[in-house]
Amino acid sequence: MTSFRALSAVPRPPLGLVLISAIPAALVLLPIGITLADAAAAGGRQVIDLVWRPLVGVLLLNTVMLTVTAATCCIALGTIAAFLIERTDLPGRSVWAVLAVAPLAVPAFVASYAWVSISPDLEGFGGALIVTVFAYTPLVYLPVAAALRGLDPALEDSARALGDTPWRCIRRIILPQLRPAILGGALLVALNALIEFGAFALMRFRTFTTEIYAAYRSGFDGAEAAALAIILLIFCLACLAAEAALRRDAHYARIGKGTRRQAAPYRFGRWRWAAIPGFALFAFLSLCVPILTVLFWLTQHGAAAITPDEASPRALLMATLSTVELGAGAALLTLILALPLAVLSARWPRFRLTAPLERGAWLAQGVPGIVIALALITATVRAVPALYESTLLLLIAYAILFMPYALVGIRAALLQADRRLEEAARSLGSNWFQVLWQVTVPLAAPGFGAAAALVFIAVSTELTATLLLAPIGTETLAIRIWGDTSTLAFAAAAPYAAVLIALSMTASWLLARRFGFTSLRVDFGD
Amino acid sequence: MAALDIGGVVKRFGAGTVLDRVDLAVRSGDVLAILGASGSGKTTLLRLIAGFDRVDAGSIAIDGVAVANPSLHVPPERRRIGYLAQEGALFPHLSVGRNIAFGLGRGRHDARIVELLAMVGLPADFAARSPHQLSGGEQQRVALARALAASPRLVMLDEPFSALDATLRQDVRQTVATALKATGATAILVTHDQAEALSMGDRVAVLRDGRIVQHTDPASLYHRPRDAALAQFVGEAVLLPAMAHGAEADCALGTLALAEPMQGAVTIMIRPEQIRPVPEATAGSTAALIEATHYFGHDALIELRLADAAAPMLLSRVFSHTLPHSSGRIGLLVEGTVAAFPDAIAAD
Repeated sequence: MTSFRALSAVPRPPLGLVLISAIPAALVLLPIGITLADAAAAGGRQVIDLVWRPLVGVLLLNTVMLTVTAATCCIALGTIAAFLIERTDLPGRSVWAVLAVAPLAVPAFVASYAWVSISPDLEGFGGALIVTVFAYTPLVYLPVAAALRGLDPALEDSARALGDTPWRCIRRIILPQLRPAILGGALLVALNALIEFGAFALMRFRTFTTEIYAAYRSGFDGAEAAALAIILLIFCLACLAAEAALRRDAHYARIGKGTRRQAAPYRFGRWRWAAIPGFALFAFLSLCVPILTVLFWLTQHGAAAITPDEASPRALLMATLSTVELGAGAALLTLILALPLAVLSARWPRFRLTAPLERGAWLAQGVPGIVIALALITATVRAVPALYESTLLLLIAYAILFMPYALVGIRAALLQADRRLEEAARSLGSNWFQVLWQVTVPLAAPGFGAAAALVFIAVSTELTATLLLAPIGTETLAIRIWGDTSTLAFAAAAPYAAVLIALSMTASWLLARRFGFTSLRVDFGD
Repeated sequence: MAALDIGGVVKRFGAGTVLDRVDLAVRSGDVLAILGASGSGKTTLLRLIAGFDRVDAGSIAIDGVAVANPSLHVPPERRRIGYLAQEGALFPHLSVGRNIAFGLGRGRHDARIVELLAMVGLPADFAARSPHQLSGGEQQRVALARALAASPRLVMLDEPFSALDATLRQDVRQTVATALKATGATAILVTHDQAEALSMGDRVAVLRDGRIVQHTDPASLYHRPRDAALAQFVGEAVLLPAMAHGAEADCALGTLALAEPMQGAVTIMIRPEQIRPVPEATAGSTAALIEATHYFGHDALIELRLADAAAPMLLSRVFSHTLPHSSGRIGLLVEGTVAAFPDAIAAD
């Protein structure tokens, strides 16, 4: 029996495992397939007419302008912040490091609500840009800070010895090596700006996501929504592919292990205080504005604003409960669905179907929530009406959206439980079940917890799919904020926004304290 | 004139003193090996000379020009030094050729790159490769070519061979030694490997707890170390209590010639290869019993016990083909002179 196995180069996983591992990829490809089928059903002629319109030109211009401007601003802010925090004698670096990441815990549509409630003048490009930049700068900051920490200090020493001044050293050695991290972060900013819906809708800034939503609301013209969705998908998947290519080509990792000496900080002497106002302003705009605005509206009596609806403690409690229930349910479902593929990936990485199945599941990062939601609605209305507007369908949508989070987390956890440790336990006389309970589970459990927490946070702050798929009568915090803000009932939205920010910040803080700040951004690299 | 002059250098990190009044002078064209265990301060000393860190007290002068004292810090880029880091530290985003030309300023340096590659034993077509395509030994050769490119007056080597495996190490060491001699550069090699220090250094300085314990030529260091602890750090040593009277000392192995005259109770240090096994009852030999033998290929170590049970265990190093077959009694002769330490110092 062993003879054939031993001869084949790559060990084969059990067939059953491969089959259930295909479920995540299938789930992610399903909405893409449905969208394509919808467009195909309308016929080529009609799709071309739908695409070749002035409206699409406006959307393209809006999207490209916002994406490029936001990514540029995030590159500048994120890189400078990372450099100042990681490599200089700036006072209070550990505090700024927390504040630079904290905006990740404020959902973009909540920040948007805060800004738009300050002044309707912010509506449009300006407001959309502010919200995008402050929400997503951490996506550049985190990888750049990690890259700076990973740089071998001996490189800078060598450059100095070869005649470079400290400033030339930044240009010739540090920046070139940060390039993959900077570009990768910028592509993630672009991707997030492309798929963002709630923040732009509240800012009345027209992008593909808001127009797809409008097309769905106005009588649900399937063909128009599908045509716009395909253009959006092309943009998103291009960003995703560029980011993947960047990772593949990045050879800038350390060549050797090097010495783990702390690199000498750049010293600004008396000037080091000069950066403080900049950081303070960034923290104020990205964190204080949303939080203080929410607090301000909390103190306003409902009737003081144009408020048809008043939040009752009971409604607040119900909304919080359904948010938590949906978050927990989705975390459970996503982890269960991701587990087989993660096992395949951790234990049979060289099996020829492993990489394609993983990549299929990871495509989810590039499929906007609105596209997934609309495709699931189309499919259930036509094929399985019983599922339409069911909690299960909403949970499935969450599982598709956040499958990559669970996959990365579980795979890392399983790799933590090194196979060699299990073999050592077997050699010490444990049977496979004892090994599972005494070695694998204790080692992998924290990683599973982190994966579940990430999915939970993502689901509780998710707006688009929730809005479109939640069963009648299910009111989450996100839906409440959306509904009240859309009707300019800012005071009514405030309690829900306060609870949502508190929930997201607490969960993020617990996660970051246990696993470090990088755990807040899912790293899809190897 | 000394290429490098270090006087009374002190470096503190927080409360700890890493270097405590270090004095060193290196002759132009010499290779000085700085030997020390980890934590002895040897890398710190090198970083002070290179200018990566500042001195707290004392002074450093290169070619007679002061580059560091508490009120002066010439930055590394203006010291004209070459620096070879532990794992080469090649810039991963630049080709081999551009790595080598990094310190040469603007313009093309193709001819110089080829010349430098040849000097470190690499073919010219390596210039177009990426650092990650090279083996560890090749990376280290390129790093050496880069460090020597601008003809620095002083080259600093920070444990440059420690990341290489044993077979490569000898090769790269040879390349480095040859290239240093060819360019006539003064070099400082920091290492924790005594064989490396003894074989590559024209002079060896031993650093212990932030102080220079001894600074001399390799043979003197090996045969006449300053104290017993240093003797054991530099190589395997047999230490025996003895009574010295002038040029000779009496010990369990008979009367031995001392390297330097001394009087009174001393500890003598004999290198294992000085202790030669001979047939039992050879004239002048001391009888001993073989306890164990350790075979290493080209040589072997014999653990020995003297008839006097109170005497410590002895070690004898022999070429492996002369390893005695019998595991019984043999005689021992001591060749050459031995070092002696007065007991007051040996005790600490």
